[in-house]
Parts: sequence; C-alpha cells; structure tokens
Amino acid sequence: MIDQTEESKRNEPIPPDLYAARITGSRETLARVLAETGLDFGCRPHGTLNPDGSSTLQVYATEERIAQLQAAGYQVERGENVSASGRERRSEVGKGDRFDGGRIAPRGLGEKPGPHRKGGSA
Amino acid sequence: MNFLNVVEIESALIGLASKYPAISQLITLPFFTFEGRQTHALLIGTGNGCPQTGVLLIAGAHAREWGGPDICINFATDLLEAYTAGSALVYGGTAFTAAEIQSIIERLDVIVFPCINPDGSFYSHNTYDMWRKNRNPASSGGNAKKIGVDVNRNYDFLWDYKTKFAKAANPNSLASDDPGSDLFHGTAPFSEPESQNVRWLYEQYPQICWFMDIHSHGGDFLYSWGDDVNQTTTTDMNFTNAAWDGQRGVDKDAYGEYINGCDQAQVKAVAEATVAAIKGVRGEPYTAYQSFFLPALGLTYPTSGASDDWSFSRYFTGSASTKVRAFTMEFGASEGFFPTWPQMVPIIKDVDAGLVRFCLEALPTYTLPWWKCHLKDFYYDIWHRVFPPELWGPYGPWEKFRSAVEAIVIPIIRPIIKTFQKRLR
Repeated sequence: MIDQTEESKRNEPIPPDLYAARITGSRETLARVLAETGLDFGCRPHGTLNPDGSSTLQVYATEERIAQLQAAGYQVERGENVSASGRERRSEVGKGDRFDGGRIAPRGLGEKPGPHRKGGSA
Repeated sequence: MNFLNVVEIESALIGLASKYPAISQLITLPFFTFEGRQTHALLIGTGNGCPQTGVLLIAGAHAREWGGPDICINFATDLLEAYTAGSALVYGGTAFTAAEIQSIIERLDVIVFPCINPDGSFYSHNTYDMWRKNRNPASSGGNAKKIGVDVNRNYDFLWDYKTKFAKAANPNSLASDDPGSDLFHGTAPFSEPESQNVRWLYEQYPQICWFMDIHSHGGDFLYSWGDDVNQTTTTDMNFTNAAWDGQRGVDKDAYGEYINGCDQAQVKAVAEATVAAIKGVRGEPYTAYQSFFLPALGLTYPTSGASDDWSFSRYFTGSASTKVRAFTMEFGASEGFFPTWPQMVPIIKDVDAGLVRFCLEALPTYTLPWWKCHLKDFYYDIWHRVFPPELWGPYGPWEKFRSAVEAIVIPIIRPIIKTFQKRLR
C-alpha cells in the first residue's frame, strides 16, 4: 500500500517553534490564563499543585508569546523546544510499509506465556 | 521497531485480518478524508451467530498525539496472538489469564479504529509536528494558518456552544468558530469525514455499548460528562433541555448535567479498574475523574462536540437503543506528544493492560446463544413499541414521577428502616 497523496507536502509556511512552558501562580491566576490567553494547553490542560499552595500549568507557546506573558507579569519558565523534539522524532516514524500492504502481520509486545493449545493462525 | 506511519497503520489492520480470518474482520470506513485517504477498523471476535456486546476503541483524532494508533494496533495484535495461542497475556505486573482473553474474543465484538485522522497524522509526521486538527481547508479562505477542524469538537453534542453554554464558561476549552483556532469545531456537527466514520461505526454496529477515545498526554482516564458537573437528582436538567441553554459549563452554579446514579457509579468503577490495571504494569499513576474537571488545578474544562459525550448522549437523544459508556484516555505523562520509541514501548504496555481490563469490565453478565439472541431482538422491538423511551426513558415523564415519589417517600421510609434495623440488632 503506497500513500498516494502529496497534499500534506505542499509549500506552506511553518509556524515558529513551540516551547513547553510552565506558568506558576494562584488558582485565580491560572483560571485567568486558561480563560483569557488563548494559549495552547495540549490535548487538555495539565498542572501540578505546589507545596506553597500555588499551581503550575503546562502550556505550549512561541518564544515571543512567552516573553509577552512574562512582560504581563506571569511567572513563566521556558522548557523544552517541543517542535525541535518532534522534528528529531521524525526519524523514529516508519518509512515505507513494514507490513507490505498487509502481507505481513504485526507482532505484539505483550508476553504470552502458558499453554499454546491452538497453534498457528486461526 | 518505531512509530507506525499512516500507511503502515492500515497495512497492519489488513495483515491482522488476513492472518486471523476466523476471529477478525476488516472494516472499510466509507468516508474518505480531504486528502483522499480511506481508513480501516478491525472487528475482533468470534461471535456466536449474533452480535456480541460491542467495544469501540478509536485513536489518532489529534494528529500530534503520536502513539495512539500504535497502542491500538498492538492491543489488537496481542489479543489475537494470545487467543490463537491459548495463552495468557502479560504486561509487566498486570496479567490476564487465557480464559479472560478467551472471554473477550468470544463474548465481545471489539472494534479497533486506530487512526481516525490520517491526514493530520501524515502532516504531523512529515511537515509540522505540532499539528492537531484534520487537513480540511474548506473554511480557510486560502489561508494556510486556518486549515483544519478539531475532530474532537465536531461531534453532535452541544456543538452550538455559543447557544448552549454560559458566557462565563471557559471559551478556550469549549470549541471555536475561528478556523485559525486549534479548537475550530467545523461548519456543522459531523461536517468532517473523520467524525462521520465514527458515527457510521455506531450505525453499522448498534451493539456498541462501550467506547474509548485515546489521546495524549497527561495520564488521565476521563468519564462523562464533559459539559458540566454531574448531578443525579434532577432529570430534566440535561443537555436536551433548551430551557437550560446559556447556563452550562460553569461550576457551582444552578446547572448540573443529569446522570443516573447507577450509571455514574458504573463508569467510575470501570475507570478505577482500568487505571488500576495500568498502574499494575510498572506503577504509572493514571488518574480517573470526570472530564469536566481539572482536579490537579482545582479548575474546570468544559467541552462541546467531544466524542465521549456524544457517544454517551446518543441513548438519551433516541439515536441509539443501547447506552454507551464512554471514556477518554490521555496516555503518557512527562513524555509529551513525542516520546522516543523506547519511551513509547512501556506506554503501549501500560495502556494495553488498561484496554484489556476495560474489555473485561465490558463483558456482559451472560451471553445468549444465537437463537435466544434473535428472540431478544424481537422482544426488545416489541418492548420499545409498547414502552417508548420518550415516555419511559430517563428523561420521560415516568422518570420524573419516579424521582418525585422517591424524594417524598425515601425521607419517610429511611428513619423507619433505621429504627427497624436497630431493633433487629
């Protein structure tokens, strides 16, 4: 099976890199961040409660946006460049078709101990 | 080994259906994506002459959440291999007996739809890794920044968020009508082929009673509802009641989404069992909670148009005769959207242990032989004609009457029972 489409490779401007950033603040501050900033929170927001009672929320933002948030008074810590991680990880996506259009079946990662009463393919 | 590309995901399904023809069946989804891709699902089960309780597992809705399709393919492969070999199935510290695997294959119809959004996945794998939506440019007006629809905001559950939700509800979680937003919900419910394919599966396999949408990341296992806090007392306070439009999505206000107390207890119990199985593999602490909340932050995250709520809602809108218990998995934690493959392997084992446990929880208490199965269908048909759900269902007048009587009678009866119990002691 060959992927016949080249639609996704058309020449489009690629957005600037996104960084995983951590915003720390009170519950009210983070509620405001969630409601008003329009940031990228991932699939759904995740955070942690800190020992001092504050919370930390993970967001994805450009360097420019992080600087804007810091200038607006938010406590923001820049983390990993996730766009760069994604680019690096592309080398770990399969090339071609290891299953040869379905002529080869995948093998599972789970262990299968015990009796093998039926044997072969069903 | 490494992540499956979008071609390999489909080839893997074809390969499994070819290798295990007696216990699996390839399903070709009818709606082509914008870029012309056709997707497949795999139905796993021997059947016994009639449809078994159905479990639908989907993944890949959000393109950048790499690994969801790999989890599904591995799960299907492990089930088929273990059943065929008559062996147990072990993921780290979580083990399932051969008899349990046999029960899943022989008493359930497990439908695995590993990559519902292959256009988005292809784009994420090859061009822009952080892409979330599909690749439909219909609303973009030629602007590349406005391509795509968030498939998980395109289902027909409170889709018209501006009417259905309160102004105070978080606009950055519900959905968006801006095509440039990552939450763009499309031009209408089910405007997208990706969500249409999921709906088609429900229509073709009405035996589906359990559903899971697999996303990343966070280590969460979420149950309905996602639009507001659950409440178990006021039946007419529900998503179908237009009188509550404009009031949903805010915690600690008048509105709460009705869920039957038994349903809530069941979905919580299943969610807890699933995360326990995941934790058993190597100790990963997944958390089960209602999807409306963000417990770690003490905040809320209302959503509209999501697959899990739509799946659960179908019974209440009369579009399904069976109730679907629906969940969303957010796999992985600190690894983010793009774990390395060596990081992904243990995540696959974690989640697949959860999926096996989820299927075991879905097993019916009994399985009918084929002739009783047809008799049951005939009986249900008659039953629904005599007792239509709009009269006798959870939002009908009977339920209102029952709740009203319960509210009056229980406070009277409870002290009597307690007194009686004390005397017995």
